[in-house]
Amino acid sequence: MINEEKVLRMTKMASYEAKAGKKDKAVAGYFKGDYIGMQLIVSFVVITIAFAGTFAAYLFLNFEEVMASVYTMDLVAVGKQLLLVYLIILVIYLIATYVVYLIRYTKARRRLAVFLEYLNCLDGTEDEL
Amino acid sequence: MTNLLVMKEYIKSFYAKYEEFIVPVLKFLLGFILFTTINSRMGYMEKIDSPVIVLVASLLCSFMPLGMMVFLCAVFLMLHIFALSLECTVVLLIAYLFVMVVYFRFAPKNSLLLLVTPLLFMLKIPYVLPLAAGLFGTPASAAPIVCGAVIYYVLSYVAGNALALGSGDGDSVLQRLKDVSTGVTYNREMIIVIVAFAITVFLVYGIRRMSISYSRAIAILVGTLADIVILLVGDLMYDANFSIASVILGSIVGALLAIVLQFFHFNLDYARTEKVQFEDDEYYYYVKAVPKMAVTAPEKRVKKITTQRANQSVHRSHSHSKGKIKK
Repeated sequence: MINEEKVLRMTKMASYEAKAGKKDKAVAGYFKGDYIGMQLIVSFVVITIAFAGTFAAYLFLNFEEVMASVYTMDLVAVGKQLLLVYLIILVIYLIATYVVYLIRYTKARRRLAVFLEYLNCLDGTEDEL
Repeated sequence: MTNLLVMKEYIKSFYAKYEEFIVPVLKFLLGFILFTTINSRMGYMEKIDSPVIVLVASLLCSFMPLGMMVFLCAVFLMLHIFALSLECTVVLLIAYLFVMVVYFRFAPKNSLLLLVTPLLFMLKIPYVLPLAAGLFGTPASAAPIVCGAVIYYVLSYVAGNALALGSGDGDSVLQRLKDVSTGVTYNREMIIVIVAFAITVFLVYGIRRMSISYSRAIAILVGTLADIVILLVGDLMYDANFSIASVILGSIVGALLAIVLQFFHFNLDYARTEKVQFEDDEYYYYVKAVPKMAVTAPEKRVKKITTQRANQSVHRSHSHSKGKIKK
C-alpha cells in the first residue's frame, strides 16, 4: 500500500535535492564565518586582479606621458592617491560581497532546515508504520 | 477585468501543460533575435554573418541553459569586433572583465536580464528593466542591468565610430586605443544611466517589499518618477545630451510594460510541472507533479434570450388554453 503523504513529502524533497539542494548543501557545509570569509578572500583576489589589469592598461595607453613625467612627478603622492582609490573600490566591493553572500548563506540554511525537518518527519512516519 | 483574469489563467494552464515545448521555443526565439541583431548591427566578420550559423547557434541555445546564450553572444560580439579592429577588442575585453567582476560574482543566474538589457536599449525602452528587476527580482538584479548597459554603450560607441576605427590609417594603434577607451569611459550618458537604473532597482525593490496596500503599483510609479528625475538632473549637471521627450515617453512606455508584466506575472519556478524519481525500501517512484491552478476558468453557458419568440409562444399557449376552455 502506498502512503500518499509520504510520496508527497518525498516528491518535494527529491525536487529540492535535484534543484537547489546540492548547492545549499555545499554552502551549509561551512560555518557562516568561514563561508563569508572565503568569499571575501575570493572577492579581494578578483578586485585586485581587475584593478591591476585596469591600471596596467592605463599605463600602457599613456606610456609616453607617464615616462615623460615620471622624473618630475611626486611618486609618493601619486602612489598614495592610487592606494586610496584602490582601497575605496575594495571596501565597496567587499561590503557588497559581504551582504550578498550573507543573504545567500542565510537562505541556503533556511531551505536546508526545511528539508531536514521533512526528513525527520519522514523518519517519524516510517517508525509509525 | 474578469476577462483579463480568465485569460491569465488560460495562459497559465497552457504554459503548465506545454511547458516542455514552450521554454525551448522561447529560448530559440530569443537566441535568434539576439544573434540576428548582433549580425545585422555589427556584421564585420562575414564568416559568421550567415543565417545558417545563426540558426545553429539558436538551436543550440534552445536546449542549453541561458548561460550558454550569454557565452555565445559574447563570442559573436568578440569575433565581429576583432574583425573590425584590435583596439576595440581590447576595450571590449576590459568591458567583459567588468562583467565578470560585477555580474558573475553577485548575480550569475540572471542571464535573461543581461541578455535582454542591450536589446531593450536598442529598442529605446530600457526604462522597463529596473522596474521589472525591482518587482520580480532582488537588489542583486541591478548587476546584470548595469553590465548589460556597459556592453550596450561600448558597442554603440564602436558601431558609431566603425568607419574611423576600421580604416586603420592615420593615428598609431596606441593613439586609437586611447581614443576608444577615453570615448567609452568618459561617456557621461552611460554613467548617469547606470546610476539611475541601479538606484531605481533598489527603490522599487524596497517599496515592493513594504507591507502597504498597492505596494507594487506605488513601486512602479515611484520608480518611474525617480528614474526620470535622476536622468534629467544628471543631464542638467553633466550635460549628457539626453533627449527629454524620449526619456519621458520611454519611461511611460516602460511603466506600462511593467504594469502588464506585473499582471501576467506568475511565479514560474513554482508553476512548473516536475518529474522526479526516488525510491524507498519497497517501491521505485516516478512522480510527475503538476501544479494546481489557483482559479479555474468558468465554463461558458450560452443562454439565448429572444423576447419576440418567447412572447409569441406565450401568446400561442395562452390562446390554445383559451380554446380548450371554450371547448
